[in-house]
Amino acid sequence: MGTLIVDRVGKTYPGNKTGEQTVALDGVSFTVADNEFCALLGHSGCGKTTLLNLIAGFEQPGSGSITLDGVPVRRPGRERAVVFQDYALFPWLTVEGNIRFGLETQGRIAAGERQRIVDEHIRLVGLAGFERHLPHQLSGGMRQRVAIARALATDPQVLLLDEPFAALDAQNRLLMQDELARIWASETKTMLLVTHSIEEAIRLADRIVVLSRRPGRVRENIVVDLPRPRHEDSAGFIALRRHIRNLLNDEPADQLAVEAASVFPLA
Amino acid sequence: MSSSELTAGRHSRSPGDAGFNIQTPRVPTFLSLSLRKLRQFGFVSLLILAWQYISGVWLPAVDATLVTLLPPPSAVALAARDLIVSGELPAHLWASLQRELIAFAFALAAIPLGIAMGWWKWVNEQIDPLIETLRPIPPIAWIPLSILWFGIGDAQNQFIIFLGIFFPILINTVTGVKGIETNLIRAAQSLGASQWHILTRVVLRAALPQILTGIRVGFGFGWMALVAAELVGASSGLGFLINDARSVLRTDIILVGMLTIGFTGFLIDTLVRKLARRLLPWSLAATR
Amino acid sequence: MQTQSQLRHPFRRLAVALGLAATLAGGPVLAAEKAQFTDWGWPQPYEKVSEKSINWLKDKGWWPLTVAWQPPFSGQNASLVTINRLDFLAKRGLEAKFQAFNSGPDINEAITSGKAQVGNGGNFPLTTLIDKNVPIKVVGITAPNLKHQTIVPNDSPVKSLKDFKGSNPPAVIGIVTGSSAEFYFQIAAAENGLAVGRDVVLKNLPLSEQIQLPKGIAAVVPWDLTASLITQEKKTGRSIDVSYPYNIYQGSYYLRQELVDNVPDVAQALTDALIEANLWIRLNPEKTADLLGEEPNLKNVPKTLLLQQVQEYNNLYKPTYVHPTPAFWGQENARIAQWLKQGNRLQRTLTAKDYENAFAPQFADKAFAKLGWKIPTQPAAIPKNWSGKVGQHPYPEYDTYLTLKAPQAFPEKGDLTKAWQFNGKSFKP
Repeated sequence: MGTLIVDRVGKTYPGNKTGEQTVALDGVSFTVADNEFCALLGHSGCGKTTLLNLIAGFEQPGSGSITLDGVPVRRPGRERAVVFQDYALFPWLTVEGNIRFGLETQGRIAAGERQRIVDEHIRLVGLAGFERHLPHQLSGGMRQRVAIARALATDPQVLLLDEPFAALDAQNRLLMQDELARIWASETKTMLLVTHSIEEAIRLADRIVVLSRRPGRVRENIVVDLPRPRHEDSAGFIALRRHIRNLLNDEPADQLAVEAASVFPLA
Repeated sequence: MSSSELTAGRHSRSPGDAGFNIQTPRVPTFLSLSLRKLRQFGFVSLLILAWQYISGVWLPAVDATLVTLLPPPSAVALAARDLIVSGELPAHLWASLQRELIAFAFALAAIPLGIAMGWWKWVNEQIDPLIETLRPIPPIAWIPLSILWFGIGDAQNQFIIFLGIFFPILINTVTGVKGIETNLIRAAQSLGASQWHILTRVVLRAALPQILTGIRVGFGFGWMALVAAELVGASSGLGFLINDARSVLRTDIILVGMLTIGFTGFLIDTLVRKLARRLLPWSLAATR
Repeated sequence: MQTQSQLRHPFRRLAVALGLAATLAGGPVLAAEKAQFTDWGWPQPYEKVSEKSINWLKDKGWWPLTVAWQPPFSGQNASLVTINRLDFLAKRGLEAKFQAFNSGPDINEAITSGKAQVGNGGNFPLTTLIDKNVPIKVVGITAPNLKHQTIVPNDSPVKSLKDFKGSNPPAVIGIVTGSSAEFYFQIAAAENGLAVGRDVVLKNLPLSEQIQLPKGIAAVVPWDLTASLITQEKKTGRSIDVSYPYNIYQGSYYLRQELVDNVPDVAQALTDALIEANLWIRLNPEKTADLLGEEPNLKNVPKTLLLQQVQEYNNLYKPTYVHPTPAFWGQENARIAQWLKQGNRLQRTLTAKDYENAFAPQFADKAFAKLGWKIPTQPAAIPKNWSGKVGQHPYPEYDTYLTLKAPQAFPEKGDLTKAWQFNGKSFKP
């Protein structure tokens, strides 16, 4: 089971030299249901990565609470696996070795069973034949696939993805989005995807939580009702995109122009 | 070209026919390899020739006594040959290597200490002031104290060498640990690794390139501390050879000792670098 | 003034004339005797070096002269410090700077490169210079019979060298390898039935570390003043063997040969300064100890020990000990050279002739002529009716600090060739 409840979470960072505190998040609340695909969307600086770190357990909220199936989140754990933007693969381990890592830390799984899980996940992400490769021998997209396989191999309750495709070029990003959709369809789990791309959120998510600029607050909690597979040309897609764009347009102007160029390349 | 033409041509094609300029690669001969090596050592060869002229021809004409101060390469080579044939040079080399290796084994304690210092802030806070005070003290300054503590013998020599090796390994380990990508640690945590697991399976491995750099540097420092270390209480070793030759004005033997130290140091360094390249193929830092 | 009436007497006139004549004749003699020697017996006036020689030194880049000496080397240290502090070179027109070194081999480097033109060393360092054909000439002897001792810690059960036999593991001896101490110990070990490498092993240990009598060392082998410092001052160790029976030791005061060949008056001045310094020390031992104590390298040595060392090495023997006596030392040192060649410490086989050629006794000869001292044929430590023969081992007893009850008397009958003065007393041959 993987029901994630974020309840009035706030996070403030102490000021450094200027003495001014930074309020990163302010009273953020939303729920991700079991097996739901949720996207956290917003401009940079809206605190979405901070929020992911809190959910992952890397940091503690200043106020409010986060629970997974009723159990409060206090520290990192295998039930909330993370996929990072810069892959964070262990460079000294092969593709196999990386994927096997989480299984070895458990210690309770027999070697044969471990190998079976590893093989299964290699096939899942489409990397059959690359088992013995080291990360520096792989392209960015392949590395991210390893990261996803590694995170899924431990059978977490929630998979947290922090802008996983931001480092890829546009072509590969689209390919990987499709891959992720396929993987999620195959091994359904609760997913939480942090992204600044409206398209990405609409293509993949059941629910989009739009966060405002700092201090991060929930602008809107949108349920995406469109049927899968989702096409960018469909009316529902276009309408939703316009809606969210307008939401984000309400943000201060100067920043928006910069953001616009990166989020809406065709605008 | 149609596909039939392509396939037809393939069977009868020979280098001359098709108008291609195919060059069969020339197998490098021993001669060409030697010449290439010689070219690489061009500057060094020139220096040696100049030295031979200065010490062998020019200096004796000016003032024969000065040849004692700078004997020509030919005299050095002769002295080297005598020392090798009599077995003395290999014996001294082995004695020094032994001391270096034993000191190195002890100096490996710097790795767990460095990991602790890099990982836990409070450890670093407490120990760093001590390290920063001790580190600038050259090993040679420790000789009087070391004699009081260890008496005369191999242990005292090894202690001095140990001091040379320890600090570079420690500093580099701390740097290596502190420089680990935060997300690597976080990834391990989110995969359910315990703190012990993270320290041994992630931190140690991730810092390894930097640690190996520290080992390379440390080995070099320890090797250089040899001559000072073997000043006192040694009856063997390359440092002893130099110190002993000094008392009888055998500058040629001194040079043999110095060159052996230099060359061996270079070999060890190359070995460690090759090892690093083997163990850590993904890391640029280790192999540079 | 006599009256005219008294001078008329013929005998009185003769007596007065004779008296006047005697006075006139004896006056210059008396006057000469009064101005002829300093209190410490050096003839006046000082002979100054020529302008030509000074220019030669300047052209060579040897102005001021560099004099290399060793602070912990007894006997020699007092002579050199005295030359320096009493300006015995300046009085002869020479400018010099004095450079301290830790050992003979260190001085050898400076002498070989020409950076120092005057040096001091023991038998082994001197041998090294001759072996490498470094152009030097010995003009005087210092530190006669420098004592080398094998010293064990007070709580050691060892009573003599023989006790080391059969040590397992081998007893570790801390010694300055390549020095006269190593030479003494090797001979002593051989004569006491010890195998070096099996019963004992030699480990290089500088004097400063030997003083500590460090853990792991069964014995140390220093020379004076370090030896006496341990046994008499700090009293942390006791001597189980002394070097006297094994070799007759000499320290050498030597010059770059170019000085002898090109500016002999400079060489003479350097030799004279050494002999004069020894005389001054003979007259002023306490002051000498004070001067030594003012040296930065000797500040921590107790004054009582410094004074004792002056008495043992500068004032024990007749001052004629300073003469090179080449024939004697040639024989004695050739014995050393043989051992060193066998141990691969020398490249050439040196003979007594090689050593003799390295000595330049002519300057000491001239100084002795000025002083009115007879030139000796043997070192002062060898008694007149010595039954031994130099170069033939083992040696019967000769005059050492252990055997002499009082300093050797000087001058004795036969020591002088003409009148000499010292400390206000006149001596006739």
